[in-house]
Amino acid sequence: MRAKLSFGLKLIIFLLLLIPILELGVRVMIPQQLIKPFPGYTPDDTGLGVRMKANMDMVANTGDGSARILTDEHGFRIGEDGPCEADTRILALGDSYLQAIQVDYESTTTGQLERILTDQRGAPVCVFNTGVPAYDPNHYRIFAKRELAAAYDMVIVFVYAGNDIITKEVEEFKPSKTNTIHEFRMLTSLNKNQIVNRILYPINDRLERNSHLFILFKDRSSVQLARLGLTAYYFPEHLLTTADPERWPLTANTLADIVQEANQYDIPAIIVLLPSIYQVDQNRLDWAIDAFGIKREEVDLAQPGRRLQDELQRYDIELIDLLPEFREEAAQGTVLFGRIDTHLSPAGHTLVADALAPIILDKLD
Amino acid sequence: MSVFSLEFSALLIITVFAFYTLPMRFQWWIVLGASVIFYVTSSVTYAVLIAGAILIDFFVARAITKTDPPVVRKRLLGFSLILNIGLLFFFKYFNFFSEAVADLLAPCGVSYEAATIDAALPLGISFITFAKIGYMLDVYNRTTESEKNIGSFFLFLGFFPNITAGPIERARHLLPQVKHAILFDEHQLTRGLRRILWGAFKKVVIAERLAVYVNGVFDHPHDASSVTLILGILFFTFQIYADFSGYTDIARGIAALFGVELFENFRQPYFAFSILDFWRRWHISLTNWIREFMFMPLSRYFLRREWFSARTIQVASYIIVMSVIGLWHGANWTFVVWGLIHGILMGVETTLPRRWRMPQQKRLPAILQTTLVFIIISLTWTFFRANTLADASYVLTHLFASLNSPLKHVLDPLATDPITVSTLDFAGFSDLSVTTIKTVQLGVSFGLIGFLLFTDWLTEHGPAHYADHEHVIDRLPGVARWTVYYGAIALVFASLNAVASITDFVYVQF
Repeated sequence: MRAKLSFGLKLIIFLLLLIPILELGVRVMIPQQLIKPFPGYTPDDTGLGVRMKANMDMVANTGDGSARILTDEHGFRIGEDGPCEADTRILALGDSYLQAIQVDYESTTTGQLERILTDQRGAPVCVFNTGVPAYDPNHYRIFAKRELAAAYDMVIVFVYAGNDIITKEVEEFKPSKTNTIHEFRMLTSLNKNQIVNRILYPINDRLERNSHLFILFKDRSSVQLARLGLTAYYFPEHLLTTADPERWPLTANTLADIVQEANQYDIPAIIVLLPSIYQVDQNRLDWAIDAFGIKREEVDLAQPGRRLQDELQRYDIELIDLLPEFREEAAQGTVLFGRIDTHLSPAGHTLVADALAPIILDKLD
Repeated sequence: MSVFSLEFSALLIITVFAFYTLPMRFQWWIVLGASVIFYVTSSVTYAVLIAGAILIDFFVARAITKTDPPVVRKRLLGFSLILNIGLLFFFKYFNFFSEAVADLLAPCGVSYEAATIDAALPLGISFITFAKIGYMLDVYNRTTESEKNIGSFFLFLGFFPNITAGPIERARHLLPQVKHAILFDEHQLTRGLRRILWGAFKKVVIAERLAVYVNGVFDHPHDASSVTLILGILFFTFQIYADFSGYTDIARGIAALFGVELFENFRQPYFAFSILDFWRRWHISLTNWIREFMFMPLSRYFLRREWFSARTIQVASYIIVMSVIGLWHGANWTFVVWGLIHGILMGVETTLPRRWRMPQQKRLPAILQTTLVFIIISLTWTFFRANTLADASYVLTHLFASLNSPLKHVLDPLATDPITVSTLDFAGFSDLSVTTIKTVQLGVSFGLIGFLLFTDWLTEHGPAHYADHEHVIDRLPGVARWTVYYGAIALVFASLNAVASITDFVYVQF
């Protein structure tokens, strides 16, 4: 027994000494992207719950590279040239997929649209990026009602198939503070929620900012972590045939409200459906099926586009479903989503901008 | 379940922990349980199938032992052989022979659509089948008693460290080891861990790196220059050695954690002085099996009938047996031709004057002899690696066709390696051209080959106390020894994680 304990102790010491060596090895040979969050960039808002912080200038890194985040006085994302000024103004409503803090503004959908449309029309065009993380069509409707009173020539609603299919209607959101930095706090009870939020998340946040080895570990053990429920990844319910069917007319009704609001100001509205990575990347889908224990026969990747289109047709509204374009481009080998942060890559934004530009030009004319 | 997966690591750690902490009477049941889990995660259906085949052989072997009439014993043996060979044929060779028949009939104007089976190969079926056949023949020949304990028998054939790609164990070697209690031995465990590390280093750091170049050459041989083709062959020669011997070291290392010593499967093969000597050093467990259960019986059969001279029989036996070895490696004509060539070479070698077949005593002739054998072996590997016979033929006939091509084309099969780029960047060498980075990579590949050869040379020709790599490491001062361990682990870890996935061991596909 003594010999076993002695060996066990030696092994533990060996492994403890191994950690800093592996950290050094990873930094030298396979450096990872450290994640650099920035707290307080979504102050609370009465009505919308949260909004983007105004006049912001910071650098973020969510795992696939650094990006500079600038916002104007309204909290709209802008480029390094500062707030856009033009006679032609387009309001873009969306969530984190529109906001796209994973890339510089010039690589975002709105940044690229501004460039393309300005070139095509021969006159400046502004596409205002109002994207805020965790927004959904409820937020877009509230935002549209607030914002469309100002002079716009068009409104584009970017609906993300991953989580923008709503299951309940909300007229007003209470102010809610979001905090991307988790602090250590004492446990008041031994439930999973407290352990995760007060112990594990703070450890996670600190290690994500400082340890290449930790980032690598999370990446390589993503399936196991997902099975244990210790990951921010999730599989969209809307891609499963078991999804509650009420969500489709509810979402369509909310989007129709936005179109109606735009009609009051006599401006065209475009509803765009952005696919999730699982609908485009087979490897990612396989990973999710393995990680989340999903039954493959319950997956219907075309469901969001098909069901939403069916519902929107009742309002005579066309849905621009970009899933076919994404799949075609992905088949060529183009990487359309980030690897760690699965929002759109620069190539993904380019695809969206290129697909929408002719439609926008047509409607503007 | 790959040996480099988190699942396997967890399984191994739990099994070793339970092995040495739970009461000793449970030790081999624990290992058997781990072996079942290991196989079942591959396929439940095949696990049941293989278990059924093992169970049948258990009872047939017991029956052979208890039966006296030779006819009955022979029939029982025949039943077992047909079952085992039949299973192997069904899963591994049915499609190959079906398509071969179709190819043969086509020129005769007979249109025959080859019937094919769409079934994956059960894990380790080639190795398990040979171990079972060897066992049945040992029992039949009364060189081994049939095993009475069904658990031990299952463990002998399903021992998870070597089930995937050998070594092919013999009952009289492995069975006694898995029947007695194993005491905790720190030195044994350390040896095992060290052997696992060495095997992982060879597979992940050396073989995987060389594989990039090799794949680039053999997947597009028509795009390669002469020097590129030569390098492709050279790199594959060491890739397959590092890959297969790496696996064996990992298997032996894992077995050592349980106090089990598996067969040594490699003995510095590229220092062989003849083709025959090469096969005494390469995949030793397979060579021994083939010699005992195919070559000797075949030779004796023909010798008794006195149809041909002993020399002719010997040559013919080599050719037949090596062709079968080729076929065992894979259902593809490239493997058959590879084996056939080795058979012919061995046959030709036996006709040479004896002094040419023995190791040379003087240094220069010995070096020349070893180098010549190495070159021949390397060239034959072309058939083993090429995707088709046509590709193999192209490679060998174009080795000197374009020697005037610019040397920079040598770098074409390479893709920039993230570890090299990052390490150079860390060292302050940023913004290097792709050519420079690839040149460094090529240099590193040569360095690794040199290191592998050096370690083998040390064992082959070094002082007696360098008889194996572990003794070399043991003789280093503590700081140096631990630096080697940590450095090797860091390299293996980085190499494992630099790519999305590590390719399977080459011999797993057999």
